Amino acid sequence: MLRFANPKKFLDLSGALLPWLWLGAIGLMGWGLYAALFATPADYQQGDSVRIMYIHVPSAWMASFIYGFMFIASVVGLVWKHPLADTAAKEAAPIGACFTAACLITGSLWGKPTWGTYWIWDARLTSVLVLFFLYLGYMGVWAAIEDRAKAARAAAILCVVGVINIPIIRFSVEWWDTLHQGPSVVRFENGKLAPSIDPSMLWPLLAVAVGCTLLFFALLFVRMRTDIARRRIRTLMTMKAAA
Amino acid sequence: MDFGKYTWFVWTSYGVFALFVGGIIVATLRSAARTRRQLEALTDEQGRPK
Amino acid sequence: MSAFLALVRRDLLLSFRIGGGPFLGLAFFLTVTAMLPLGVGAKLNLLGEAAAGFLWVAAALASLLSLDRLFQADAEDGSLDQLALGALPLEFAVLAKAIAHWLTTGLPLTLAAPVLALMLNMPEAGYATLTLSLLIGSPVFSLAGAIGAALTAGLRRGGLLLSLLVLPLFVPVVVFGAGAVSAAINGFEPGAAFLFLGAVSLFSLVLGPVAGAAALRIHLS
Repeated sequence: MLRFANPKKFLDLSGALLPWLWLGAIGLMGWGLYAALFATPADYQQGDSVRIMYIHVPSAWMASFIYGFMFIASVVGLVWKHPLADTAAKEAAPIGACFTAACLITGSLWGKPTWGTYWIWDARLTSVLVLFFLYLGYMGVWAAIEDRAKAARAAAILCVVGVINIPIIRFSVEWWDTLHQGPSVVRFENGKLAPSIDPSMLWPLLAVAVGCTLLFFALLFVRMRTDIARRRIRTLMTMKAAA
Repeated sequence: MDFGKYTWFVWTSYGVFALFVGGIIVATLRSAARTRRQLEALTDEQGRPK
Repeated sequence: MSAFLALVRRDLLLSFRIGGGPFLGLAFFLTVTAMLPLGVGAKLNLLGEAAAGFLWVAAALASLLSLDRLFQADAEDGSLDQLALGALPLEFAVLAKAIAHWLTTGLPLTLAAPVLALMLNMPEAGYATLTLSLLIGSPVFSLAGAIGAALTAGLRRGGLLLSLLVLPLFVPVVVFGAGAVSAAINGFEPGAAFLFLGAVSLFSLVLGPVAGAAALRIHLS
């Protein structure tokens, strides 16, 4: 892992990987989304509203996956003080926030015809909303602190504290949900994640999920390369000004 | 494509997904292109400072 | 230990002399409580049902108001550097300041809560539980809040960012605290909620000072 921590090595490796990542992301997402909209059958219970699941579930998966990625990068950045890990965590956050927002909105658009309301305060929705706040706070710390090294460490501490708190938040809202159980809500949690899902629906779902993951790494690498270039520009400008 | 009473919900959610995911793609690529142009203005073909 | 107590005493004195001490927080608490009936209408049964949750949310917001000054003044006048150099570990300095913060915000709100609950027509069965749950839970607002305050110390406009950072940390306390009260009102045993509340409180007693001190060291280096 640390072999690729050298920025030069990272630039070479990511440059070689990027075309494949883009190709895979576009191919898988293109096929998956096409199949989701046109080729898959409507669910016998949920009807055509099940098509929203093909983007909602991968978005939800990306929302937590990217936060986990940021956590690992933050720990590496804190322990080994590695600037590339800080960059990775920083550049992953906006991508994660976008997927989290997409997850929340597509979920509520699925909820309206299925549950009869755009938003219900159930445990899952509430904890994803809190996750969205965590993303915003993380990006806010990066934006607010000017000194890069300080911003990196402050954001990393916030990310680690956030991850420690996620299980507690999760547990508390689940406990709260059983307390406030609304009688009008019909639950389809099994319909969403049941392993007995039909293969004709499973493959497009997996394709979009893997496609989103590849897209995340493609975007992350482009953003990290941009960040490295931006710092190089700053160094060059300072050298010019000093000369 | 018509999905009966779900048409509006399905297409709106795909639109929202496209907006967010497309938005971050466009923002990323644009800032990458801008930075590359800036860097090219400051360095020669071998990447050494001008 | 004497340095620890001296720090608590110093912060208490400071808050009394420059900020009106606990009275400012109380005034805010009272104002928002007066706003609730004005906003949702003076329907007594509606207010009584919302009272427990509302008072918990108001307590969280009231402690937010003063959190951004927790380390800010000390960062500006250099006393934070003094604290970092002193014999007292920075973790304990954070703990001392969080305790002083709780004594001037959380504790007065806890004591005032029954009166406000009365004004909001909360059922009588919930009064003791409300006070006890605030006593156990409100330290989290100061302890977990200290993490956010330490992260934003030294920023010119840290207040808004601070609220974004700490509100997710406040979620479990509000859930268990308000949950305990509504359990008591509805005739259930609030014991389980109290245990969770205590667990969250003890956990933030460790996490707050440790993470807060780590965050402060960033700004000191």
